[in-house]
Amino acid sequence: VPPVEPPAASLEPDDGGLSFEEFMRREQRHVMGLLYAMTGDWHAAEDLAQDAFAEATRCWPQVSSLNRPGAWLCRVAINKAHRWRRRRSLEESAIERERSGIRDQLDLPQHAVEVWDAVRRLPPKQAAVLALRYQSGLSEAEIAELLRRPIGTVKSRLHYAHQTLARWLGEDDEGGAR
Amino acid sequence: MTIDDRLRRAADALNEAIARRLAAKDQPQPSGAPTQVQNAADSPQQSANAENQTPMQPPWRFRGEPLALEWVAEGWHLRFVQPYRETKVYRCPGCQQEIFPRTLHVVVWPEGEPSQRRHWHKACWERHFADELKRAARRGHPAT
Repeated sequence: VPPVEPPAASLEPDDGGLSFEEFMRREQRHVMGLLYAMTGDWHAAEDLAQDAFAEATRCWPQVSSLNRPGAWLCRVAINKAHRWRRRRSLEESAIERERSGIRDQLDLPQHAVEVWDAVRRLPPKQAAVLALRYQSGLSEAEIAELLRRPIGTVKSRLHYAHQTLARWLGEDDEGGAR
Repeated sequence: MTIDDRLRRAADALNEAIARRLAAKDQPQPSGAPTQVQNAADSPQQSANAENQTPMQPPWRFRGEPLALEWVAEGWHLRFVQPYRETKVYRCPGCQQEIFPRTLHVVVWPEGEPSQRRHWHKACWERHFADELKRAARRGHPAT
């Protein structure tokens, strides 16, 4: 079962007239951040982002008339990241190991690397919620709307993710899940 | 420090790194990539069009000359990717196989349309290019 619903092009239409180039410029950084947080590989993030944008061009009239095309793109990107992750975990061939050996990582400070590596070890849905919460800076309500899940689901995923991270990273969890 | 704070700090760091990477990608590409291509500058478009350098010869068949990394020939723009530069896996449109990292291959696009570029194995492109030339020749001379 795909963790996130396929985007239905049925959000309330707004005024169109958003050009794809502008959309891409506006969303690129955000989507790349989300994808990097979930994959930990810049090349993979680039590829997946490109796929997501390609999908957007394919049905651009509908997408551009959505209320928030950015949210649509996020959902597509998250689905792609999930699929990438599943494929990645299935393939254990030498090529795959080779590929992961030359994973293209951003130069992040150590504390950030630790945290994001831990996030990527979480169950995918929890990782996605954490990425949206912190990397994209969305509120719980916004995440619930974006993923089309009840807000309680989002809260519980955040809570469990916080708990697990606290155990792994050896921090106390007070005030973690809010 | 709580987990919440640590996640916030990690997100800030990631945002900065991404901004840096995207900025770096936007700037040096126009001038950065062709620095290695200087020896190809002797034989770019003009000479390819003007003095037809026996176009049947795929242009990398150079012996003993400094290996140029970029050509324009027959409306195609070729660029070699040297093994040490390559870290991604591509799919070659000639044989539908993957091009593994750290292999020499060639990036090809129709002139003036860099968005159409494709990564080919060198041998696959060579074969494809030869076929293309044959087809063009047949179109040119229907009698033969």
